[in-house]
Amino acid sequence: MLVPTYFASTATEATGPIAALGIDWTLLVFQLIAFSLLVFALNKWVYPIFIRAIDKREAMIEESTKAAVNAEKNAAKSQEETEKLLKQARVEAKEIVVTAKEQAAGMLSDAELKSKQQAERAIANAEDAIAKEVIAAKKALHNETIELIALATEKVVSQKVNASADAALIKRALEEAK
Amino acid sequence: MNQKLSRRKIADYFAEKVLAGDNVAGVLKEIAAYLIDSGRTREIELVVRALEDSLSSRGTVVASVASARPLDETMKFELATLIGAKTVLFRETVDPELIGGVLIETPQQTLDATIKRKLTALHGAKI
Repeated sequence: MLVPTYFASTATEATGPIAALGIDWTLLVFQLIAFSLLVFALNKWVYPIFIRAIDKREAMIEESTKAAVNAEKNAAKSQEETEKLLKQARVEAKEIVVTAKEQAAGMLSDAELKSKQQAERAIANAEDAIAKEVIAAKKALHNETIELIALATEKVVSQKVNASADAALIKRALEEAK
Repeated sequence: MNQKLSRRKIADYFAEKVLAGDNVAGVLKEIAAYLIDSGRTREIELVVRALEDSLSSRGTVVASVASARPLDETMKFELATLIGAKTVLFRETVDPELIGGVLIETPQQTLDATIKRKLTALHGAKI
């Protein structure tokens, strides 16, 4: 027979008001002692293990929470930095684009200026060459004309100058020489 | 002693001979003989020119006259008048290439009044 059952069976045999309430002092004391032993045993060997485990778990959780908070903070920070870098990159990219456009425009205008100057030079050279050719042609024409005139004069004069004309020519030359 | 005479002395000597009435051709032969003998044939032109200068200084001018046709006496007289010397000896040349006019050269001056010179001047007007 089990002890509690024993005590329960013996308790019914007690008398008095407490007995009327169904409380058996012996059994109650015995139960209190058993309970105290149980509590003691639990406090001594079981609870510390659980508490340690719980504390450890709690510490881990706290650590994890802290890590998560830190990670969140770091993430936010890195996001901010990323946004900042992105903004900076956008600004720099805009500046680069603007600079590139300006340089391209400058190069274009330079190229236009150069090509214009080259064209003007080419025109000036061509005009110069034409002018020189015109002068050369005029000279050639002048010389050919003189040549023709001289030849024609020589032929005509050779035929026309006879003895009397020659004498008159000499006489005039002598008079002019005086 | 064979002394080398100056062209001036040779010219003066032969000028005196010409002016004395010696035959000009004979005088010229003498000059030629002397120059050959003395080995100075290269100086013939210079000696003749010195002779002309010497004659000119004595009032006799040797004028080289070139024309397309032979000059008549009237023309020669006018030429002599123009030259203005006491005596003028003409060395005449007829060159049809001159076409017309006359070219007179004396030791002191030159007058080119030929048609050829005018035509040459016309040619020279080329640029």
